[in-house]
Amino acid sequence: MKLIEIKNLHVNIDDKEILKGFDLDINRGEVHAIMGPNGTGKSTLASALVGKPDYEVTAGKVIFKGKDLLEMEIEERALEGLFLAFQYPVEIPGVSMINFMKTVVDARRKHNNEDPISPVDFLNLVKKSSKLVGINDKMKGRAVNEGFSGGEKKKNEIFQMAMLQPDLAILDELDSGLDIDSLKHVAEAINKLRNKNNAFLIITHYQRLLDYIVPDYVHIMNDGKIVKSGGKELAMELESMGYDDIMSKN
Amino acid sequence: MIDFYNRLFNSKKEELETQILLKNIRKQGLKDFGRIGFPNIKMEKWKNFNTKAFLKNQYEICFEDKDNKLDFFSKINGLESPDTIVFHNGHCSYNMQLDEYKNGVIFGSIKAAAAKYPELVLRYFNKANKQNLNGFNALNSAFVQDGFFLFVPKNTNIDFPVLVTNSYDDDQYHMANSRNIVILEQNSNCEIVQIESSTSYCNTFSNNITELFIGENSTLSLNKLQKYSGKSIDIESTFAIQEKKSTFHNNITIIGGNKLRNDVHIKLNGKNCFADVNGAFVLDDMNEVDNNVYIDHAKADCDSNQNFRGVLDDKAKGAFTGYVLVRQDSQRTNAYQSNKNIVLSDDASMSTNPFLEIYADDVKCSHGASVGNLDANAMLYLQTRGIQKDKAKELLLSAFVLEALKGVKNTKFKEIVSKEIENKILKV
Amino acid sequence: MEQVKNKVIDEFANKDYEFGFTTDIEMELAPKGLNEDIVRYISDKKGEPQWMLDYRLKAYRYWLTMKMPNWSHLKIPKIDYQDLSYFAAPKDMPKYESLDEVDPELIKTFNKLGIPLEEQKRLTGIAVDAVFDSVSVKTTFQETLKELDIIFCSMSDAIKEHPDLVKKYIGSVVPHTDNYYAALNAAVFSDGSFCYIPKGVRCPVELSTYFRINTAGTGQFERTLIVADDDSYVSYLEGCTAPQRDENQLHAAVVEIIAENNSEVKYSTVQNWYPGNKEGKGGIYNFVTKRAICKGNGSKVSWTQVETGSAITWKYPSTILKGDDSIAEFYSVAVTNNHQQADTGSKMIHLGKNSKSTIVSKGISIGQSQNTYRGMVKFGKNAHNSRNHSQCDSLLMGDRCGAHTYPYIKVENNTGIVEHEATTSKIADDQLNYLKQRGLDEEQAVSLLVNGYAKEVLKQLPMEFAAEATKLLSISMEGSVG
Repeated sequence: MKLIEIKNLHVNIDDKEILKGFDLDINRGEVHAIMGPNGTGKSTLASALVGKPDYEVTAGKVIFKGKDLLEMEIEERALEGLFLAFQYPVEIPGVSMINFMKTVVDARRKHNNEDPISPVDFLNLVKKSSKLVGINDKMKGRAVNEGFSGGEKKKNEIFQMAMLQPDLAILDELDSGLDIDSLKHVAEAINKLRNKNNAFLIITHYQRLLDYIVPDYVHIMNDGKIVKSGGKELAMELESMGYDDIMSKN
Repeated sequence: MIDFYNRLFNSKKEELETQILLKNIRKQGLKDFGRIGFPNIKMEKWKNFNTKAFLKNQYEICFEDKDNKLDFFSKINGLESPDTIVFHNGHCSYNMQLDEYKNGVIFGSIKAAAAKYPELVLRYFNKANKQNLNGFNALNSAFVQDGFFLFVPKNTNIDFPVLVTNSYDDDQYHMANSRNIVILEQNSNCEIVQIESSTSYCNTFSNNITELFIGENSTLSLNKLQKYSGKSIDIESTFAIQEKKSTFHNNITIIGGNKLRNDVHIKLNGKNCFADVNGAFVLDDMNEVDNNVYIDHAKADCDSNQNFRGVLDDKAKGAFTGYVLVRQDSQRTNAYQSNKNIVLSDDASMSTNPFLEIYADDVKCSHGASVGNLDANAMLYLQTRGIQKDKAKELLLSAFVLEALKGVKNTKFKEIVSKEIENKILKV
Repeated sequence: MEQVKNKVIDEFANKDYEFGFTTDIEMELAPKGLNEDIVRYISDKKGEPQWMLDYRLKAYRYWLTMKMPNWSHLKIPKIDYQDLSYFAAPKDMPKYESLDEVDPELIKTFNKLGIPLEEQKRLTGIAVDAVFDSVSVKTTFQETLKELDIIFCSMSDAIKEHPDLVKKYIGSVVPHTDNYYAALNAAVFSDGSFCYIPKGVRCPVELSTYFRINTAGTGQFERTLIVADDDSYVSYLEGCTAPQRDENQLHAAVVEIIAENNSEVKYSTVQNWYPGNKEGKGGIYNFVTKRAICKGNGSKVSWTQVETGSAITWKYPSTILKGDDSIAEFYSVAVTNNHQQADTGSKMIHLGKNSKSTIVSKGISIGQSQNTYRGMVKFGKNAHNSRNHSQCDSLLMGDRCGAHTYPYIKVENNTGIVEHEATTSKIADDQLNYLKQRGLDEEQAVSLLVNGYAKEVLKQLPMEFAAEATKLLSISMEGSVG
């Protein structure tokens, strides 16, 4: 069974069609990258998949782990194992990272009919994940994303991903806001989290990120749908030719 | 209604005079009340607080606690203090309680204090209260029955928070006029935790005045939890006078009440003072709360801070008026004011009036106010992490409200009010 | 530093009012005092129909029952309403067909004011309606407007020539019962401008009215009515000056704006009434009611004001956002100096869904003046998904002036978002020092910073007006800020 099947997905925002028949299948163990110029609907895809309100699906279907994803509430999708690393993670003053993560981990355990995590296990999990991603203790003591630098926010997203071990992680413009050293570090963490049971969908404007997280498939998106797919070499080709040439060649 | 209270006064004259020896203050109070009467919504300062409905009731006074039972709030929540004074329907529950410490600290019922130290009490009585600013204040002066009294002599630290609880459970239409007086002489420190609560069948109208005298280089923290039932009416006026280099922290948490009014008047009467007034409120049902903070920067080089956060649901009505006055020669003033509110229901409403009145030029004053709903992006973020909608809402609302109390140093108090806020939020 | 600043402020305080000349023209004055006969006299002088007289009398009778408002942060000396003349007009007003027929003295006045009618007509394409004391003198550019069926004329003409339009809209936004000065205006208004933009028409020129009070001992009560019909657009400019006089003169105008479906009205004012001398003697009392209604869906009203004049200003250009998706804006710079007092701001009353409003207010207090922002933002029950953002800043220059901020915010639904921010401070020393380090002197530096401070508002003005406003601001700041 495929991990996710996206069939002919059409999405409107404020009555304007942004996704115009998007198709993509992803199996467990695969890393897909979606590239494309700005404004082609890459982030809309991510938002529609997690169920952001105001993103109106007008046609198509999405089957995630054999279930109709579009019927689910935002949080159900998350609990089923879908994770989005946001391009611009929101600051939430007053909600402490630790309280937040504990609530999130327990919500998932409850969903899987497990008891709340013990404090010791929780702290170990936090320790392991933060070490993997390389975030410091100070960050953990603060409110969610509050006062974090751009890079810290992105690291925090991957930290949460490490804590939650999702089946499918969508990384939306992960490299924006990250300097090259942080990018390498974060990419390394993601590579460590890759296994045959999970999958990644990387949304990126630049090829740079794909030097560090090597995808199995690369798709080029334009005007609301995929216009070209290929292996990792497609990203290289894109780098040398640019979007216009690649698309006209198509 | 003025006639009714005149008659009430005359009929109880003898008892009033034997209660606390305040003959002239009471007379003046009654006279002022007769002159100004109760405030009404046509008055600028009362436009958000309609008193008409409840003032139709004729509130009697009583001089004694009928059943004198132990307070039901002091023991719960694990809130304890080596020194607690308990009020029941406005009366000190243990008759004439007055604790006197070796270092000169006096803490207890004002009635008891006035009996034993009449000069000390009279030296301060009505000295911060601005000549009965409104009818409620005047009525309090006329009918005051008890309250707490705390005297901290100079160079004294009370190293534990003293606890005052007021609980009301009287089903009769009674008026409780408590007068609290706190005096900190210079170089002193103390913290007061005040818990006010009422039962669902309580018909008491509590009308209290707190007078605070904060001496040079002294610090007073007054942390208050108002947990009133949806039937309670409570009018509170706090008057603080700060001498130079003093600090006053006032943290107010409000969990319900039928009609609640807080007026906090602070006069910064010396240089280098800091006044810090914070409030958190969660209202539902028909709760109505009107918070008013007046800070008078009467001297230069003072700082003040106001931070109020509120959540309103159902048919709740909220109001905040923050008023900063910087007088002409009060240079190098920093004044900050913030009031943020979340309105959850279409039937709830919120008014916010952050005022600045500034007559000096070397100042940094700012205010921010907002009324809105939950941050949709924050909701989305929490939900994409698998948190249920209700739980996400609860988390965000609690965090939002508690921002107002982030400066509270007493962790035990903070824990308790956080719990109270979370419990109340669960209901909204 | 302090010394320079004091010098700067002193110099500014001594700065004379530039427009303080009077014009010698024979005037016809109504006898002093106010009673029903005077109201009838005004109506009669203007040859008004009965319905207009009835309206005036109704307003007058209502006014008699009212009291002067006292809630503002203003000290208003007692005004003797019986000691004013309520009508002043250049004698034997002829009907001008061309500019040549206009009294050369009048033309000279307008030239001094910087509004040569002919020049403006030719160069800037602004249609000017000039109100001199109480009477509209000349409306230029009529032909261009006529082609588009745009009506732009004096209120007196409108009452005679477009009675149905006037009847329909006058008093519909500011009823005569609204407030003391509005009632007074409704009773005795002398003239003003009327403007109607028909459906689907974008007015190609900026419409402009200049108001000038000339005669001593008069009050000026003009009334402006602007109606933008569906899908239309107009930009309207208003300028005001008055001669220097020792006594105070009363100006109680009413402006009403109606914006129908998807129409847009931009209203800009540069108010430069005589502010009184540096001891606070004389000057105009400017008690004005300006209000717009975004009546239709998708309509937009934008107020921009630069307030530098008047001894006392009492003025709150407001908008009722009745239509769904309507938009209202208020941009204001108010400078007060010497003993000037200003209590000004805006009201945004949201009634329609998805309505949006913006308030940007920049106050500058100098000398011994008092500058107050007073505003109200209200979201009614049905104003779902409405938004307001208000920014009210005050700048203090000198330690004897005051800056006050009184915002009133009320929200009665759970989908609206209101945000209000305000700051009060003097010019930041680090900014001043930074500029001085780059070689500017104190005055230049202050001037630059003040201009930057007011920029957000000034840039809202139409091009032709922006230059004038910037000039006026720098005149107001001259000696003080360069």
